Formats: sequence, C-alpha cells, structure tokens
Amino acid sequence: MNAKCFVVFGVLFGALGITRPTNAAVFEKIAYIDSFDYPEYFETETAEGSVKIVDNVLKTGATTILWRNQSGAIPRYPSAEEALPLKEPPLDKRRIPLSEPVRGWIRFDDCGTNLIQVAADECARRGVTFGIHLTTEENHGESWTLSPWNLEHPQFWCCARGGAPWPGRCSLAYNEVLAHKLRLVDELLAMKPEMIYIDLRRAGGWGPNLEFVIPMENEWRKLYNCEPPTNWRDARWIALVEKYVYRYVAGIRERVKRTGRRVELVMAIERAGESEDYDLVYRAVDWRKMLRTGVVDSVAVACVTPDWKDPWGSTARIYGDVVREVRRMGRGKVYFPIMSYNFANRPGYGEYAKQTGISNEQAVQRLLELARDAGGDGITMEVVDFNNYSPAVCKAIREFAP
Amino acid sequence: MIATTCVILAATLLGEGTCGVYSPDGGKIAMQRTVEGKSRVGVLDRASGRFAWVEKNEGNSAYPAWSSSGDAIVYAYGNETNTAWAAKDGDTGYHLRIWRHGNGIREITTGRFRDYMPSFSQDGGKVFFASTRCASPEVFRATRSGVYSVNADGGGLTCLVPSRVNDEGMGQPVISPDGKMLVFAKIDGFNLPWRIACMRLAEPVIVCSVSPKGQSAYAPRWTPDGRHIVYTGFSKGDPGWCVYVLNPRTGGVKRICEGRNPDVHPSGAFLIYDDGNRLYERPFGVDDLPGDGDLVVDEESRLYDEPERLVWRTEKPDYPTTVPMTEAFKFGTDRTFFVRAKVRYTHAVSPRFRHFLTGEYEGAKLGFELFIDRNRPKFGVRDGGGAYMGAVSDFTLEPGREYMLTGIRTSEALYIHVDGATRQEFKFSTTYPLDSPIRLEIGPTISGKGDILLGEIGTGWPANVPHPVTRTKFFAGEGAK
Repeated sequence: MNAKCFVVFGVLFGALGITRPTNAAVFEKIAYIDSFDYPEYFETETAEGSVKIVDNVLKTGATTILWRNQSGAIPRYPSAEEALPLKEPPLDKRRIPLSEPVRGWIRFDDCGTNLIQVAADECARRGVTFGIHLTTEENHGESWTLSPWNLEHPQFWCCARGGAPWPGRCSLAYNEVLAHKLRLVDELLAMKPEMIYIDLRRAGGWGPNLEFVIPMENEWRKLYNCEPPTNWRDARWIALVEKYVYRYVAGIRERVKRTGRRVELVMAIERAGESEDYDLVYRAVDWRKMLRTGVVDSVAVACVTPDWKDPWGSTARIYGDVVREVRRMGRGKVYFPIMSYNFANRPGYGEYAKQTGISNEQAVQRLLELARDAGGDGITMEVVDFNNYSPAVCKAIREFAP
Repeated sequence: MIATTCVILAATLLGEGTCGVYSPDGGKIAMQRTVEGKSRVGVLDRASGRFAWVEKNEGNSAYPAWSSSGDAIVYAYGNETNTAWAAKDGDTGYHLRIWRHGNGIREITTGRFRDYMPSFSQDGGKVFFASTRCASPEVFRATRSGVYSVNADGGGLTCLVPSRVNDEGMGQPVISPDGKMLVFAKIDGFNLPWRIACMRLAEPVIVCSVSPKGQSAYAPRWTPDGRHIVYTGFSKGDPGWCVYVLNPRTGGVKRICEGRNPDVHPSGAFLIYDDGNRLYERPFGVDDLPGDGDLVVDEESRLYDEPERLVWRTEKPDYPTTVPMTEAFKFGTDRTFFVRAKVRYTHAVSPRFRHFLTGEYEGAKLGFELFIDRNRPKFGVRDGGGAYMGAVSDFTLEPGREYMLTGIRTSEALYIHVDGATRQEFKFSTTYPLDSPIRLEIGPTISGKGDILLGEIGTGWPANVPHPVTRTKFFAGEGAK
C-alpha cells in the first residue's frame, strides 16, 4: 500500500471513532503490543498492518500503547546496531528457523518500513500516548532469535558457576555490553516515545545464577577476598549483580536526559506480595532503589499471587501495600495489572473469575476498582492480542471511569 | 580437557569471505561473500587469486560444499521477495541447488521449507542437509530442524535424524572420509549451547556427543584422514569464537586460533577459517592436534555405569498423597538419579496435564516431576536459576494402556524413556541442587484410581533403559547396550 492509501486507511479508522478516551490523564490504561498472534489474522509487515494493530488495541480503551521493541531479540524496526547480515536462520549456522507458516518467515526489521515509527505516528494522530515496551532479553523460547550482536560476541556471554557459557544473554558486567544495550535505547528514543516500560522480567531464562563471568568474579574476589559463592542466592552475590542491572537502568535515564524530552520510565515489578523479593533474587532488580533515586518514574506491578481463600481482599491488601510504599518515597506512579492470559504462578483475570464464580468482565471490573481504590494511577494490559480481550472485557475497561 | 596453548602462526588473508571450503584437489576454495547485504556463493582460485560467482541470481546463496570429484558444488538458495503473509501459500523457501561444471545450476528440493547447510556423500550420489521438514504441522510454533538426505537428482528424500521435539535442532551434517559417519551440530534447547555429535549411517538412531561439556561448538568438518574434527567453539575465557581441533575418539581438544568455520586442506597442511567476514589461511600440522583426553572417557563411565539402587518404591499407592523424603533423596547437582512409574490413565479428567511423581526440595517445589502434558510424557527438573527445564517425549500415550515411564537426570543431561525406549536426551548447562529433600507427592493432580501402578525412585543408571552411547563404545562400534 502506498503512502496515499495509508493516509486514507488511517483517516477511515479515525472516522470510526476509535481514538483516545477523554479521561486518560486521570487513570492510565496502558496496553502492551506483544504481537503474539496478529500475523495469524492479517498482514503485519506493512504500514497498514501496524495501523490495524493500533486500531485493534484501542478497542480496549487504551490511553497508552507500548510497542514491544523486539521479537525475541530481533528488533522490530531497521536497527543499525543489530544490522549484521546473519539474522535470518538459514544464513546463520547457529540459528534454528521457526517453521510456522507466516510467523516463521516474518522480517519486521527488514521489510522496508519502520513499523514502530508508523505506530508512533498513528498514536500521535489519535492522541494516544506512544511508548516502548523495552525488553532486554536476547532470546525467547520457541523463536530462536538470539540477537546478531549476541552471536558475534560469545566472549560476553553469561556463565554458570563452573564455567559453562550460557548464550542466552550477554552480561551487563561488561562495559561493551552496556554500551551496546544503550545504543539500542538510543535507536528507540529516536522514535520519540513518551513512555518506556522497562521489562526485565522477560529474561529468557537469565538470573543471577548465570552471572559468573570473569569481571564479576574478579570484582567479588577483590571485595571479599575469596572465591565467588557456591550458592548464587548469597545476598552479596545478588547485590553485586544488581549493581550492574541498576547501572543499565541508570544509563537509560541518562540517555533520556540527553534527548531533553519528557519520557516516563516505568519499571516492572514481576511479583508483588510475596515473602521473598522475587524481583531482586531472580532478576537482580531493586525497584525500590530505582524509584527512590529517580532512575525510574513509575512502577507497574505485573503480577500478584492472591490468597484464593480471599482473592479480592488479599489483592487489595497487596495493592495497598505497594502504593503506600511508593507514596512513602514521595514520588512515582503505580500501575496494576489486567491480564487476559493465565501463566503459571501469574493469574490473569480469568483465574479470578474462575475462583470466584463470576464472569470475566465482572472480574475485570473488580480489578479496575481495586486498582483505583488502592490509589493506583492506572492499569496495564499485558499482551493485547487480536482477540484475547473479549468485546465484553474491552467494554468494561473502556468504560471504566474512576 | 581443553588444551589452551595457542601457537601463533602467520595467517594469510585471502580476502572477503566466510564458510570457505577447499576443493578436493585443494586448488580452489568455495565460499560466501556479501553483495548488497545478501550472501552469495563463489569460488576463489588459490593460485591465481581469481574469483568467480557460482550463483548470480538475486537472493541469498550460502553454505557451499564440493563433491568429491570436484565437478559440483551444492549450496542453499533462497529469495524471499514477498512478505510472510503474501508468501504463506507459496512454494518459496530455502532450497538446495547443485552447480555442476558444464551443466549449470539445478534446484533439487522444493517446498515451503528451509533446507540448508548441505554436503555431498563420498560418491556424490547423495546430499546430506539440515531441514525444517520434520516440523509437524500440528505442533504450534514448531522450531526444529533435523538431518536429511536426498539423491543428487532430487529423488529419494530421507530423514536420517529426525528432530522429535520443539527447540531441538541439528545442522551442518558432513560425511567422514570413509563415508561411514556423519558429524553434525546439535542443540537441545533454545538458550543452550550447540554441541558436536556423530552418527553412523548404518545405525542412524545412535547419536554420540563428542565435543567438550560446557563448550558451545558448531560448524564441524573432518580432517582429510578422518581422525579429527575441526570446528568453531567457545569456552569461558576465550577471546571470541575460536577454531578448535577435536579427537572424537578420546575427547581431546585443542584451540588453534580465533576464528570460525574452519576447513582443512586435502593435503592436511593448511587450514582456512574466517574472522570478521574475512577468509584466512594458515599452516596446519601435528602441533595443532590435541592429546588423548582420557579424562573425558572416565567422566562418561562415571555418569552412566553406576548400577541402579532404589531409594523408594510403591505399588498401587493411594493418591493423591505425600510421603516425606529422607536424605536418600539428596541428589545434589551431579548424582545420577531416576524416577520411574508404571502408569495407566483414562480421560476421567482433562488429559492436558497430570503429575505422577513430584519431588519437593527446599527452594524448588517442583524439584523433579514426572508428568504428562497433552498426552506427552515429560520429566522435568529446575535449572540453576530455579526455572523449569525438561525432556519431552515425541511419543504420545494412549489412554487405557499401561506404560513404564522413566525420567533420568545426570550431571549434564535429562532423559525421558517410554517402555524402555529413549524419547529425548536433553543436555543442559546448569541444574538446581537437590540438596534438601522435603516431600514426595504422588499423583497430586489425578482424580480416579488405577493410574499409578508402580512408582520407583533410585540412584545410578536404571536397569530397564538403554545406556546413552559413550564415545568409547560408539567408536569401538558397539553402539548402545
């Protein structure tokens, strides 16, 4: 489709009235575009495909759309930083192709159009906040998309204790890796997002147990005058890994500052309300420190584990605890999840509905009210696919006005 | 043991190029070069330095390999001009092409597949290659490749080593100089390292890993005498991808230099490799060969030769129920143990997901688990970070029939066996230490009686399943026990 057709297409959707709701400033409704399933329903490697996705997402009443920066680790835009020629599985001996029809052959980064920029422009035209869902993973299950930069630099790969290299990710303890990651952030900032949702939950299997890399081990020896711990859960080890994760996020803040623009940085909290600090132990993310020091502006709770004997009461308590903790710091917004999919240990609204014997839309209504009543600043809708949020659920979210 | 001493020898720059391979007479090198962002196959004459394209069409051509007579080159070719959506019902893909001196180019495979990384058989009558053809259409997001062969005229397509499960891949099959053994690269999971494996053409079901544990290894090629394999590898501390030489019979390994995609000259006196999109040639000789590496053989014996010893057993248990686990269930990270259950189940409840035996440890509620998922038996443990990893059977169970399921964990791999037959070997990088046993759960998610007829847990290699083939047995021609 040429540019002229594209404009007509956009105007058509605008005329259908699918635009940003008017109460956006009060209660944010943030949708993530993971694009897990859109390619099964329509053409997505074109500008009009991106517009179609925006249009679909706005059925939820989203006030902000976050576009995932990469599929696995392959950018969804033409990236100079990942422009090595060996991206396509048949051309790289280290890749296994995804065989699935359509999705296994998609090349979002090499289709002649910056599809994220198209989405950004479309959001601007409709008055919707555009942002980036920034994942740092360098692999993703069943998509075999280890990044070209990763595959070119095994010397920076993470390592298990004992020395086995783990190719799933390069270690942020290397300055070269940090610089690479921040160059990728620069590419995204050039698309002028107003929000960056930093998702360190999607780690592709990474954790502090895989940070036994040479610079980290040397630093440990210097600090503690002994060999690195046999148990990676050692709080001192996690603190060491956390230092480099924090350095990365602080680097993002620094890059944002350089643009001179206002970009809200949101840090995901993978799990709230658990006795163990899951984010710190398994992802080396200290979100409290990031919020306290101003490295991020907001936090988004991705998941809570309710007590199913009292799902609404326990969820309300967890929400309330997070809001109180953030408010005590004197800064920061808090968003709570509305999630259609159920994952292991991460219940979506469907699980709440099932456990309490009500409909999905009623469960969503309750979750929206809980988020509002706890003092939250909005909700996040994870993985807004083509039709996983039913029309009734979309209506409940769209019409919710606190 | 990896010998890490690098002897620095002067390498000659041959120009731009990757994946170079010597012609049988050693006078030419077929390779890939990049033209306007696309890969293209051509041939360099070593004496004159003249370069000629083999494939001149637009699109990507890659992975050239010579026939033993030197009059043909096989390679992969693909030219995706449409979007994935527009091409979904078409026949485009990556297909094998053969250039033959005086006869031009012929495409020998078709279909919406990716056929790639080909090589000729010794007599030139067959082509071995990797392909996504084993992707079953009913498997959602099938991401896998297996090893295939096809006659040089395009007929006789055969799957030699099927990929049985998602996220398992194989590539770069190359036949040994005696024409009996294929070496290829293999991977068991999406974020695990590649490894090098060997397989006899006469016994393709037996695959033996030959590269060192804890190393990422791919792109193998035989030395002309068939005694060693050169490949691309990376071990912790290496400056980047390096060229390694491996004695597959002993496990002895030696690092040669930085670089990748090595090939040894037919005379055995030179080696080519690429580094940063440039092709280099260096002398190659006895000093580059590894020692015997006897320790590797000892390690394999330790893993697989310890006989089974039961630590727990039950017959027709009441369930769901739990029993406390004693210190006997302390398997750490390196003790070989197995979980065995004779099961029969019905569709009384959803067949999607049922646990049979689950071991809870401190820090890992599902320290080990033997279960079915969509009728496929699985054996899972936790990786070093506490996340699930598991071996999955390609074989689905029929409700109402009895099966003996056995899951095994060694210090380096997981196995799932159904009725004594190995369904998957899954090599991992790290595993969670099963140091503090808490309780064993028997059938926690099953409703109805009669599903678990027998349950056993023990250490050592279980008696009812075949040993994985070790390199000692494999190269002695014994195959599996």
